[in-house]
Amino acid sequence: MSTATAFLSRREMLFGRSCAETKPAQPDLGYRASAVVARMSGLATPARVSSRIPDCQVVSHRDERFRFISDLVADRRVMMGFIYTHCEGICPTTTKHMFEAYKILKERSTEPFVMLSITIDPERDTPDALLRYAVRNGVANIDDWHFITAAKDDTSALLRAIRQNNAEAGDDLTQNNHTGVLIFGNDSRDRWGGIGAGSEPIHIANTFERTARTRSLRHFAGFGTTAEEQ
Amino acid sequence: MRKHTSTSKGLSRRGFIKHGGMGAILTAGVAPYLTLKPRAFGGPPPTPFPYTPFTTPLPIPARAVPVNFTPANPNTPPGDANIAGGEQVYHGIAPEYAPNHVARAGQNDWVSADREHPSYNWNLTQQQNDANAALPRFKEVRHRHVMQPHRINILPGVTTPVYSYNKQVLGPTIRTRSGEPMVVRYTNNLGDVETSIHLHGAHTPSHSDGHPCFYVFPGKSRDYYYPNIVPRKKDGKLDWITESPSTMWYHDHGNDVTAHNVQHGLLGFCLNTDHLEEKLMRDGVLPDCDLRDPTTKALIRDANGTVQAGPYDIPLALCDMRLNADGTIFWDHFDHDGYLGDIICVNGAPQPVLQVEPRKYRLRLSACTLARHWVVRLSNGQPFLQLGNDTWLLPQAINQTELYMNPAKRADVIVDFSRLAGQEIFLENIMQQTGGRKPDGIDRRAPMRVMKFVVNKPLNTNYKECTVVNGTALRPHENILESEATVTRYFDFNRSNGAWQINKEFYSAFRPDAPIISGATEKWILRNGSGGWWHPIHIHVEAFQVIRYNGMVPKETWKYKSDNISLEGGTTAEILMKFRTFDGPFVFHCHNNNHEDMRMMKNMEICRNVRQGTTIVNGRRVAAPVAVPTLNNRWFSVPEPIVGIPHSYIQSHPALFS
Repeated sequence: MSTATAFLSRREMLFGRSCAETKPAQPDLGYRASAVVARMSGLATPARVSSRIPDCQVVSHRDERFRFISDLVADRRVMMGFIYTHCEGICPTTTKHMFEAYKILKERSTEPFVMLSITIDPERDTPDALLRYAVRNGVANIDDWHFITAAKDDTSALLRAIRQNNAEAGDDLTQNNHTGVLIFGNDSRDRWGGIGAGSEPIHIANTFERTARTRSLRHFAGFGTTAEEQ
Repeated sequence: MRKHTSTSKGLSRRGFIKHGGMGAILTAGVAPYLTLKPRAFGGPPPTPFPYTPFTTPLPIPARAVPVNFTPANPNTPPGDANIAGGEQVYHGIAPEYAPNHVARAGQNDWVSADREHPSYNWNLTQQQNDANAALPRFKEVRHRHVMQPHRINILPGVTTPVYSYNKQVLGPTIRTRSGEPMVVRYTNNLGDVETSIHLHGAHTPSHSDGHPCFYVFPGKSRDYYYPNIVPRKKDGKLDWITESPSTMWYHDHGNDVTAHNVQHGLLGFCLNTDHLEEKLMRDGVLPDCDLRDPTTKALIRDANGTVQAGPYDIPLALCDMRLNADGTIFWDHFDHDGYLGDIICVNGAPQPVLQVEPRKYRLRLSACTLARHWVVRLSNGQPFLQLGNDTWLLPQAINQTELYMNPAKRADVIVDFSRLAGQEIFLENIMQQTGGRKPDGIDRRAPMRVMKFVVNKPLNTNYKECTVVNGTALRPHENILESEATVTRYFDFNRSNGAWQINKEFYSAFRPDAPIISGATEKWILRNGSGGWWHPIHIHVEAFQVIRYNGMVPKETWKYKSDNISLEGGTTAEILMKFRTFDGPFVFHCHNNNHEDMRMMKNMEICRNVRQGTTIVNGRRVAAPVAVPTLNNRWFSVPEPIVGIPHSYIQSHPALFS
């Protein structure tokens, strides 16, 4: 099974994929163990987790066009939430907690990271609608926070790749009972994780900081007593 | 539990094809033999390597070798300054290590008389021998476990990088004795991943229990103090007889990384005996856990002085594994449903083979899978004796023909090969499972052959056959009465928008979800309202007694002591549990490790501090003591240090502790 088809349905394998066309040919590596494990054992650096996520075209609330992986994820630390602007359920909490966690993280470290709010309702959530939503939530002017929308099929493929599609509903983008999980990762470290967005912001921040290593490892390595080590 | 009669599966065309397919692969001897049908979308790829089943000899993990070092000082705050014998032990040691700690209840009885001493009187109890001041006490045993990368061959010719304790997978089997204190210095040389080590089933201080937030960080060490004591009875005496553990396992328990770390090799056995169990061995009722002279019962040590494993008492860790094309362990970072491997392994070897004598063997089965459930049986249908459920021996040995094991379950069994000389039988698993959420059901016509036993070793007549049979008395159980419970708690394990919750709450490291008065007996009602997932629930620190499963009397082996209970879809379990000896935060959680890693977990804090408050009894508000937890919804401790780590350290390094 080639990497490019790892997340595609049989139908998609037969009929081709808009995302797959842009992906360079990959050797058949299949899934990957944590690169952490492979690297420390001297194996050739395997393909990253992110190589299995479609590198789709997305548009942000600022009308900027990005390739999802190449421009927003590759070599970066990223926190992703999944919303739609008409949601009266969990999305307000998701965005609020992301914002609170963002503030905590920014207080502690100057290491850059990317915040992504991905709409699961791409048909209604145009970049304009996302801009209004971002403004309403007080986060529109944060440079490294993008509210993004992609084509319906691409959104579906993206959510499936990170297992945030609405598998129980049958239709990936069903809004009812949609995912409330925040996905975060550090592409360079090849470490990914998830946490319920309803968790307290302090925990979201702590988990992100520890997993995505927004501070260098030595900060986590012990109880430094000198100012330099704080 | 209700039987799963999914035999209709076999009648469907898909089931028929599946069975035919499996049969073909079984006879061809080429793996992977488990044709896990990929789900509608995104099923994991199969392991792309062939192997011949039943050709790899069963590995038996080597015993941990005691070493010497100076343990950390419990009165020295953890940190750079915590230097013990020239080594930095950043995370210190449990405060309970101090000889005058309040957990000792003012009695000097945590260390028992040395049962290897020739003057030890086996006709008296452990308690009575301990009262004999002339008997020397056990000495503290120390182990050093260094977590480090390693490479092993799970499949022949394929190198797989793993994490290991001391370059051994499974990790070294730790041998403990009730009343013999132990300190294990865990050092994290994994380079880039946090760890925490939990001795599953043990009665342990909070500092050494492996709370997921008390990491052992890369490059750092912690001294885990295991007093190997038991809770006290009402009369204040240590209850060795009903509470001593037998089969435990230790494994990683770091928050958000447990599933990954365990699947990559951080697990091992810990086998304990007390006077009662050792007497059963000396009297020839059970096989000896250790290698002893058959006549004198003296321990036979190896050249380094390490006690060796008895030949007829074998731990079997049931695991499943999936490899990538480059030999690394398959891992889906986004899967929080449950990891399923397609290679069935025992002690790290794929479908191994073990040569045995025609006699009884004690096999300590442990379901060490992250999400796979098992129903084990022998291929010839013969019954086997169940000696123990989870960590503890049962009150008597019970005949079984099939045994359900959820992830984290241990089943201590005796298999009698004495009528099978010259024959081969298999340990089989008849629980089908194609997804991490829950098993599909029992299919008796499509067993997975887990391992093969070849009964071709000559009988060693120096060792007498053990005498245990169906009904042999083992460890008495002191029944907890429902009327003893002073508090009832209710925990509903649910899923919310793709994330795991308990009582519709996400985990918080700072919240005492169950603030428990030390010494209390409580009733807990555990409910899994969802049909789509099964959750094996594990509670730390003490055994619990299941009194009701879906309103009915639980199965026989679940009535006594357990440390985990499988909540199938739509079930409710009621348990009674006591909380004694140690205070501080502990956890209880779903032991599907992938669920655990998305924090399907809560804190329980056992509290010595109480204040006078009120509670509601029979609808009326009455005065009652109320626990005062140190977890305070903000930080771990206010203001005293908890588990030996000062509050100031926690405050200045918040990310380290959640």
